Amino acid sequence: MSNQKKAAGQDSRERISLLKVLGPAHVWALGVGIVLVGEFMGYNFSIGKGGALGSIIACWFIGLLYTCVAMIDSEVTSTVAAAGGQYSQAKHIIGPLMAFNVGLYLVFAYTMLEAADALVVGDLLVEAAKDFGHAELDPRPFVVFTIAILAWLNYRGVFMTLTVNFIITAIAFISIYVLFIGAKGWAPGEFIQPEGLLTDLPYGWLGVIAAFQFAIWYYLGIEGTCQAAEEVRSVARSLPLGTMTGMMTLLIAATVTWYMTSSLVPWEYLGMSYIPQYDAARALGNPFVTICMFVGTLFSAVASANGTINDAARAWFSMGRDRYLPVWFGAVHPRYRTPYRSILFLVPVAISFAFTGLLDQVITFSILSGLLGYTFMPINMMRFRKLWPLGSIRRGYIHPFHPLPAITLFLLCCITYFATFLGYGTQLLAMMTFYIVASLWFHFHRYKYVKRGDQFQMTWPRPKGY
Amino acid sequence: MDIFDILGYGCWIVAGLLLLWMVVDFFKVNSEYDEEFLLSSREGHDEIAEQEKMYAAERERKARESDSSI
Repeated sequence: MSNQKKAAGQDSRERISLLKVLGPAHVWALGVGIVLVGEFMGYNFSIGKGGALGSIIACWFIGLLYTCVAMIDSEVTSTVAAAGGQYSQAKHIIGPLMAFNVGLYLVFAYTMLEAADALVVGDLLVEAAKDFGHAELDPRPFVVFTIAILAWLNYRGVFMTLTVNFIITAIAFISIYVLFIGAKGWAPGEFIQPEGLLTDLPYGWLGVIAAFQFAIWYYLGIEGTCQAAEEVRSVARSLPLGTMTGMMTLLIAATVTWYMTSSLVPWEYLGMSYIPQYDAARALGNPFVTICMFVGTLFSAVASANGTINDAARAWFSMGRDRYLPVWFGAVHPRYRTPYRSILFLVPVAISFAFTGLLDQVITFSILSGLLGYTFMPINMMRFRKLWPLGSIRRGYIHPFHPLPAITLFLLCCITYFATFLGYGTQLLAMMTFYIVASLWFHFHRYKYVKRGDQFQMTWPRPKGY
Repeated sequence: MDIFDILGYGCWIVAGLLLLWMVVDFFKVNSEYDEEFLLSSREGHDEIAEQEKMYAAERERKARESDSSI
C-alpha cells in the first residue's frame, strides 16, 4: 500500500495543489473573522489615549489607511493566484529580500495575533468563572484547547474552516447590533448618554495621534484575505469582492462599537477595560445583552484565531515552497489539500507565545509586524503600476485615483509609527533590529538555497522595460 | 471540584487527543507518500482553468465528430 502510493505519485508525474473551493463569502469570513475581535477588545485603548472623540478621529483615519490597504491588495492580488498574499506580491514585484521580510511580517503578525486571541478566550472564561463564584481559574487549558481544535480544523480542510469562520463571525457581528438594540442606540437619553460621556480631547491633538496605534485594532488583519488567493475559485472576482465588502463591514462595525461603548461607559474606565463590549453590556444591566456580548466576544476571538492559523500557515508554506525556508514546509496534504506541515509546526510556536501571558506585548509585536507590512504596500503598488501598466495584465479590480491611495497609505503609516514610538518605542526598535538581523541571515546564508527560476511560476507577461 | 475544574481537565484531554491525531496523521502521510509528490505544488497552478480547457477541448472534439457524422 505504502509503496503503491509512492509509485503512483512518481509514475504519473501528478502534481498536488491546494484546493480551489472558496468563494467571496469565505474571503469575507477570513478577513472580517481575523479583525472583528478588535471590535470587542483592544480598540478601547485608543479611547484611553485620546478620549472618546480622539478615538473616533483615529478610527476613521486608520479606516482610511486600511481602505487604501484593501484597495491596493484587491488590485494586486486579483492578478496573483498564489498563497502567501503580500509575500507573493513582493516576490514578483520588488524582489527576494523584500519578499522574505514581508513573509516574516505576515507570519509574526498572524501567529502573535493567534496567541493573543487564545489568551483572550482564556481570560474571558476566567471572568465568566469569577461571575459564577469560581476564583483563580487556570486559563491555560482553554488557551491550548482553542489553538489545538482550530489547528485541527485547519489541518482537515480550508472549506470547513472558513465556513465555520463565516458562521461564528456573522454571529459576533450581529451581537454588536444586539447591544445597539438592547440599549436603544437610536434614542439617546434612556440608556445611552452621548452628550454626557463624549468629552472633548482630554490630551489634545497629541492624544489623537497616540490613539492611532490602538485604532489599528478596529481593522488589523483585513489584509489577510489575500492568503486565500490560491484557494478561491475565481481570484479575480472573489478576492476584491470579499476584501472590499469586508472593509465596509468593518467601517460600520467600528463606528457602531465606538458609539455604543462610549455612550454607555465613561471613557476613563473604557480606556482601561480588557473586555469593553462585555463591560458596556454589564453597565446596561440587561442579562440577555450581557450573554450575547459574552458569546460575541468569545466567537470573535475564536474566529480571529482560526483565520490567523490559516494565514500564518499559508505564508510559511509559500516561503517553504520557494525555498526561502526549508522546502520541507512546502508540502500539501494529499487528502485534505492543506499545508499540513506548516500548520502543525506553528502550533507549538503559538502556544509558546500564548503561555508568556503578556497580552499587551504580544499584541504590540503583532501590530508592529502588520504596520511594517502596510508600509511596503505603497512601494509595491507604485512599482506594480510602473512595471505592469493598465492593460498589460488582466486585473480583476482596478483601484481608483492612483497614486493618491498609495501616498495616503504611506503618510498614515508614518504617523502611526510616530504614535507607536510614543507608546512602545523600545519594542519598535527591538522589532526593527530583529528584522534587520533576519534580513542579513537571509542575504548571506539562506538565499543560496533558493532556486531562482523555480520561484516564479506565474504566467505573467514580461514587465515593461525588461 | 466544580464544573470549571472539570471543563479545564476536559480541555487538556481533548486538546491532547487532537494534537496526537494530527501528529499521527502527519507521520502516516510522510511515510505513505513520496516526498517529491507532497512537494509538487506550484504557485499559479490553476487546476480549474486546466479542467475548463480540457472540457472545452472535449466539447470541441464532440462537436467536430457530430459535424462529420452529419
